[in-house]
Amino acid sequence: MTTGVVGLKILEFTRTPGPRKKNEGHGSGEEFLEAYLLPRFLEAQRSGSTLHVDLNGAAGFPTSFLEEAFGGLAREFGSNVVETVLTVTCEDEPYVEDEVRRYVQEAAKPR
Amino acid sequence: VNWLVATITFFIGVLLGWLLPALQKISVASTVDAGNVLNVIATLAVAAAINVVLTKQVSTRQALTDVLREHLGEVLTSLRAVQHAARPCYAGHRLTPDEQAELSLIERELSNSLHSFEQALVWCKVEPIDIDLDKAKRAREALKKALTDTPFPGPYSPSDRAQISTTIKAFRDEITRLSVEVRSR
Repeated sequence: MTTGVVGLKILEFTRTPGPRKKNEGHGSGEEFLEAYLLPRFLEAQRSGSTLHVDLNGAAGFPTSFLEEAFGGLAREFGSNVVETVLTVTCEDEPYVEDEVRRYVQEAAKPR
Repeated sequence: VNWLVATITFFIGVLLGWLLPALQKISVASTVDAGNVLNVIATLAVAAAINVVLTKQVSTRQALTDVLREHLGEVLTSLRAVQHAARPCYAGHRLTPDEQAELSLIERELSNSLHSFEQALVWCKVEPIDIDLDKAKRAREALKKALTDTPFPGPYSPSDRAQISTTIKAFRDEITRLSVEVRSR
C-alpha cells in the first residue's frame, strides 16, 4: 500500500534522450538511470510512495534508452518490485508506456 | 450507385409483375379491391423504408471505411519519412546528434500515426476480430528496435542495415494487410 507520490520528469534530465550507455553519447539511458531514476526510486521505496515518471516533453525515445533505464531498474530491483512502485505516463507517445512496461517485465531475460 | 440499383430493381419488379401473369396465363381482374390496394401501398412503404435504412447504413459504413483508410494513408506517409530518416544508418556510419534526434522524432510520428489508427478503430466500433492490429503493432516495435536499439547511434554493420530494411518491409506489408481488411470488412 503506497502513501504518496514521488515525481520525476524526463525534462529534468534531457529533451533528447539518447543511446544506451554513457560512453555512446549524450543523454544516455545509463546516465538517466544512475543520476535520476535510481535515486528517486529509492526515495519512493523508503517513503512507501509511488514513483511517477512523466515522459512528456522529450523528442522521442530510442529503444536503447528506454531499455537501459527501465529494464536496468528492473534488473536491479526485480520486475515485481518495480511494477509495484513505478508508474509512467507519456501522452506525447502513448505506445511508449507499453514499451516501458514490457522492458520492466522482460528485464530478467538475457539480452 | 445505391439509388440507381434501387431504381433499376424497382422497374425490374414492375416488369416482372406485369409479364409473369401474362406468361402464366393468369387473368387479372379489372376491378379494384380497396383491401388489395392498401396491401400494395403498405408493401411499397415497407420496401421504401428498408431501402432508406439500408442506404443510410451503407453510407455510414463507407464513411467509416474512408476515415480508416485516411489514417492508414498517414501511417504510410510516416513510414516513408522513417525510411528517409534511416538513410544515414549505413554500414560504418555513426549518427550525429542531429541525426539521432531526427530519427527518434520521425519514429515517434510513425508510432503516433498507428496509435491514431487504433483510436479510429475504437471510435468506428470495429471489432478486433475484424481488424487484427496486434501484428502491425509488433511489426512497428520490431522496426523501432532495429532503428534505435543497440548499436544505436552506430556505427551500424551491414547486417544491422539489412535488419532495418527487413523490418521496414515487414511493417509496410502489415499496413497493406490492414488496408485489405478495412476494405473487405
